[in-house]
Amino acid sequence: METRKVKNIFVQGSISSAFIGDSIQKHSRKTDIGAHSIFLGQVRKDVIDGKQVEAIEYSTYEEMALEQMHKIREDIFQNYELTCMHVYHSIGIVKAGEISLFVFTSSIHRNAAVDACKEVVERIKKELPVWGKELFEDASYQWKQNN
Amino acid sequence: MMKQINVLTFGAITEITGSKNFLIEGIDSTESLVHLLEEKYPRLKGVQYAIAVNKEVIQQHTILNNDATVAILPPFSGG
Repeated sequence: METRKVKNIFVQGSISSAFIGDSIQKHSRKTDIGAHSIFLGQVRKDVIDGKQVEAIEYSTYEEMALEQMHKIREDIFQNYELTCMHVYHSIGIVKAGEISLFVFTSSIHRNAAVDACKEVVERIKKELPVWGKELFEDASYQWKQNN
Repeated sequence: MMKQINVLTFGAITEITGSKNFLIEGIDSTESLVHLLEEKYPRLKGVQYAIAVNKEVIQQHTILNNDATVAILPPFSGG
């Protein structure tokens, strides 16, 4: 299997729907693809102790996160027959309603794309050194907790 | 020659130590590093964190080589 380069997954701020649409469009040349599975993580306006989350500020231990994402990518390509996989994670402030995570898997037949996408999302949330600071309307904050 | 360790902190841990990045001398294991940090920053005792040595999370205490980078990582919350 070819060695893949370590890719940068981080983008500053939110991921726009134009970027997402563009990514889909770019794959129309790859005519062996039969299915894409797409996950979009959107910042939810959670209400905690009566306060609304206005935005999440993401930070990361970048070097370690990219290395870990590379390992996840290698595992996924080993276990699933994908034609490709793209991951984008926001860094910095992403407002409620905006997209902060975009995972995009493609395969010849749909099961690989669907199953791989699900696994990638779970692994990202569990294994990447990325942190979210939930910013409330009154300028207070709390650190996000994944479940 | 005294060993020098680079310590990185993130998220809630940076709030406790007040610094994202600092050097510690004369420490040669993660166990003694934790002991030193918890003594210097008692609030650390009450919070959850993982330790990464040269970008790998460790499951048990380990010896540190000179110039190692140790990161104190609060629970991940990406995605």
